[in-house]
Formats: sequence, structure tokens, C-alpha cells
Amino acid sequence: MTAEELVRSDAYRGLRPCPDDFDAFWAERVAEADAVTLSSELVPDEARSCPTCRCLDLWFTGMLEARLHARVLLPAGEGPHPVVLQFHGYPGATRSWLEQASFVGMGCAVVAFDCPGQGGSSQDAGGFVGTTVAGHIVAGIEGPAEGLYYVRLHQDIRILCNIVRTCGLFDLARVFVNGASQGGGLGVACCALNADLVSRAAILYPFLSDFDTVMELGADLIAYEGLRYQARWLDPTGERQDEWLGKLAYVDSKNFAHLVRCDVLFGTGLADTVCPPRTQDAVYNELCCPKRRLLFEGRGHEEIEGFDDQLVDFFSVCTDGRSA
Amino acid sequence: MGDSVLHCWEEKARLARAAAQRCSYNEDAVPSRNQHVSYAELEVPSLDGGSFRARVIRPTTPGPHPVVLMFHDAMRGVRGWHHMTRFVALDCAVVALSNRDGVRGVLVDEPLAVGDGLGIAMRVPTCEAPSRIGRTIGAEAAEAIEGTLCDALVLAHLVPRLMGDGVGPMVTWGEGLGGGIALVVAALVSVRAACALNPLPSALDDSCAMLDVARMVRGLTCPVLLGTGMLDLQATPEAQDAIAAGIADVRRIRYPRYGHERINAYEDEMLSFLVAQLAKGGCT
Repeated sequence: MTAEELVRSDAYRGLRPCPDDFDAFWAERVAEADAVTLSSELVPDEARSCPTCRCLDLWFTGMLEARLHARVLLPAGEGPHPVVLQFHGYPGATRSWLEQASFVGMGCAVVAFDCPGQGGSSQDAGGFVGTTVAGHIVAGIEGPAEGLYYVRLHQDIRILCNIVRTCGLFDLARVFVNGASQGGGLGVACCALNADLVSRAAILYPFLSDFDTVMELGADLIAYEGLRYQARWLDPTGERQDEWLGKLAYVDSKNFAHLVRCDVLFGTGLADTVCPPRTQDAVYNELCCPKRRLLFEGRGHEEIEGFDDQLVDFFSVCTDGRSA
Repeated sequence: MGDSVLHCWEEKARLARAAAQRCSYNEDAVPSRNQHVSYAELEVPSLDGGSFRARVIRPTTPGPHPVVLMFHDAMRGVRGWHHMTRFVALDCAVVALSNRDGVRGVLVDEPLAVGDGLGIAMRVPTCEAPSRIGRTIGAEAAEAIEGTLCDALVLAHLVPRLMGDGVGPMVTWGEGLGGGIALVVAALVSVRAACALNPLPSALDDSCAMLDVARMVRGLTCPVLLGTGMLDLQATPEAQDAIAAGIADVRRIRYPRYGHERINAYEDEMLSFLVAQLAKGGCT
């Protein structure tokens, strides 16, 4: 899609409407997460730490007693520090300590969460109803919507945010979110479900959005391959497609967007074949917070340095407008 | 042949040092709101006429600061500002050279099929470009690589002027062609340590001996952290073996299912390595 076409499509909101009970659904899920007694420990990694950058492993209890992990990096000084909540792509893990250290160089702490059951150390408590071979996007699809993998994941992130709120290490007026692809989708949901906490978010080519369009475009491959697997093996005639896509609407990034209150910097590679730009349009267009979108001609689902470089200034502004 | 190659480059390093000590360079600040770090673009005269460009990142805290001298791969440009700010977290300044045009020609036009053998959901790119290094390098690419190496030596010797009284020990770091340059600079300039991931080029025919990293790093004595993706089709493991064989103090890490790509686990090792090396006393 060219930049011109994208501009012309600014009214696009996705193919499937947001469920009427979406806000109520998530109010219940947030309450369930808030009912989890906070239990966490920070374990220093001495070999990787130095006076200007301390590296620690955060272990905490998530939904269903899962043992979850995040990498924490702290800059010099006692704090409290501005903090970047970092979410990774699918099906990976938090990227290297050294990569996360860029934010420390900017003066920010980092909390980089490992999504359960993916490439990092967070435990997946399992128990999903339905196929589990096709990836996390459809894990739990044969049960109620509240049993979906990504519902539980958003609840785990809510618990993580509760730890951020209460641990005393971070400046709660400067909590930022950063994520690309799955990390972008998780970032949108995190901002939506923790609107009181997050003040700025950088979202790059978000995954988990506008699933009906993904199917129509034939983009149910690579990251979205679980949709094709579900359709071929468990719903070959498509007669139940509306049912299971209806459940996924509860984790559709575009449906979280109206709950986001913070400033958002949003990026799209116009040659993206993994998360089609049109599906990202729906997310961006549903945001009603202060927002700015950057379009990258000829760039796909890849590292986009032009976007990353924007983060230096975007995350360097205090709530009163002073530099961080 | 190996000794004459090294001697030739030692002479170039002497010329580079002399040039760095007297040259007039331009430094332009890049505006930023962040108060913890400053960014600048450099333009520096090169040994053969013309000029080369580099990026400079400095912590705003009082020095002296160690310096990470960074070099990038043949198939890409210099790394972004945000990417390189990682080293400021270690209280390091960064000086990053931009390669000359034409270095991409180090790859021959023999695209190879790259099958990752993984399911669709697990497919990640193993190589940015499937072309491989031949045993020879074309004339244009050879000229560009030699010029980039000379630029790297000038830049390395320019670091004390760039940092002034705030200069601490220097480490070199690079991936692919950048890794090869990082090792060559470490062999010819006094540095604390060097890191290289999938360095190239090496294992070349005698006709390209002057650009063979393995010949240039014989006798490299500083500690080196060398990472090898065992599926690398560009900097093959065997070619990297030749490089490692000439380094006295090398920690070699092999990644069996990785190719010519960034490797998170290597970067984690690199962080520990840099923390340990920079904790040592002294200026080099």
C-alpha cells in the first residue's frame, strides 16, 4: 500500500466490530488479575552489571500460579527511574541485555517481559482448550474467550504492572511502553488496561489485529499461521469461523485502542507482509489519544532504525515537558 | 606472505596515526532532547583524498569514558543512534565508522538457497543476503574494503582528539565485515579488547592476501570474544577458524543453529565480557 492509499483509508476501523461487552469483559479480567497476591523477587546478575547499569532477573507469580520472568535494567542513581516496559515479538523472547541497555543509556530503567511458553523463561501454565500445536494465537480457542492464551497473557502483564506500581523503583509519572509486532499488540493492550500508569507508548507494526482482514488477505501465514491451522484442521468448511473469530475479537489490538489514553508513536512498514498494513490501520484509526504515525516506504516486518531513533526523543520528555 | 601483509598494514597504521594527529575534521552536533547522551556526525579526511563519515555518541557525565569503536557489516549502513546508545549504559562513548560505497561487492553473485528447516511459525531469516564470499574479491570491492580499513585506522587514532581529556580505554566491535575490521584495528592499534561476530573476509586466495583478516591479525594479543554462527554462508566457520588461529587470547563461542545474523546470546556474552574488560585498570 502506498502512503497515499494509507492516507485515504484513515476511516478504516477493521472488518469485525468490537464486541458490545468488550469493556465489561476486560474489567472482569483486570479484576481477576488484581486479585492475585503480588509475589516477586529481584535477583541481581552480577556478571553483567556495572555501576552505570545494573542487570537483574525479576521472577513473579502470574495467573494460575505460573512463574514468570522479566529482565530488569536499572541506570545509575537511587531512583525512582523512568521506566520502559518492553514487550517482544512472536515467538521470541526478550532480546539481549545489551540491546535493552539502550534505554539505560537514555536514563531509563527497563522491564522486559518474557511471554510465557515462548523463547524466554516465563512458564506457561497450560490447560488451554483446543489445539496447542498451531501456536499461541489460537490456544484456548475451543473454550470460552477468557481462556485464550492472550487473555491470560494480558492479565499477566496487568500483574507485572501492579508490581511496577508498588515496588518503589520507578517514577510512576514516566512509565513508557515499547514493542514491535507481538510486542506492539501487547503494548496497545497494556496501555489500555493500565491507562492510569502509562504516559507514552511506541508501537511498531502491531500484531494481533483485525483477524478477519488477515484471513481475507490470505496473510494467515507466518505469525498468523494459527488461524489457517484452526480453519483447515478444526473448521474445514468454515461454518464455525464466525464463532472462533468472534472470540479472538476480545484480544484484537484494534478493540483495545479506544481505551488508550497516553501519547502514542506508531510505526508501519508499508511493505509488511507479516502484519499487513491494513490491519495496522484499524488499530491506529481506533486510537483516540494523542498520536503520531510514521510510515516507512519499502520497509517490511524488520528492524526499522528510523523508528527506533525516534525513541530517544520520544521517551526523553517529562510530564512537565522538561527533558528526562 | 603473511608477514609482508602485516608489515604493509603496520605501515598504513603509522600513516593513519600521523594523519589523525594533524587532520582537520568536522563535527556537527545532532540535536536531541536527552540529557544523558550527546550525538554528533563526523567528517574526516581519508588517507587517499576525499573524506569518510562517522557517528559519535558521548555520555554527558564527566569522563574519562571508555570508547567503543564500532564497525558495521557489508550489507548495511552504520547502526542507528538508539541501537548504539546501549554502550552509554556502560558509561562508554561510541565512535562508529560508515563504510565506503562498494564494500557490498565482497559478496559474489551466487545466491544460495537458505532453508531453515523450521515450521512456518518458527521461520526467521538466517541470512540477510544469501550470497557468499568467494576466495577472491572483485577490484571495486577490494578497493572499497582497503579504503574502509584505512579509514578505520585513521578513526582509531583520532579517538584521543575526539574525547580529549575524557578518553579511557578503547574496545573494538563489529559484525561481519565490521567484525573483520574490528579485529584488524585491534591488531594494529592499542586497544583493551575486541569483539567480533562472524568476521570476514578470510581464507582468500593469495591474490587477495592484503584483505585477508586472518593474515592481518596474526599476533593480535588483546582479549577477543569471537562468535560464530555455524550456519553462516558468508563468513563460513572454516574461514573464521583461520582468523581465530592467529589470535593469542580468544574466547570462541559457536552457535550451531545460527547463520549470518544478530545473535542475542552472543550479545549477552558480549555484555559480560565488556563489563569484565572495562573493569580492569589502566588506559589500554
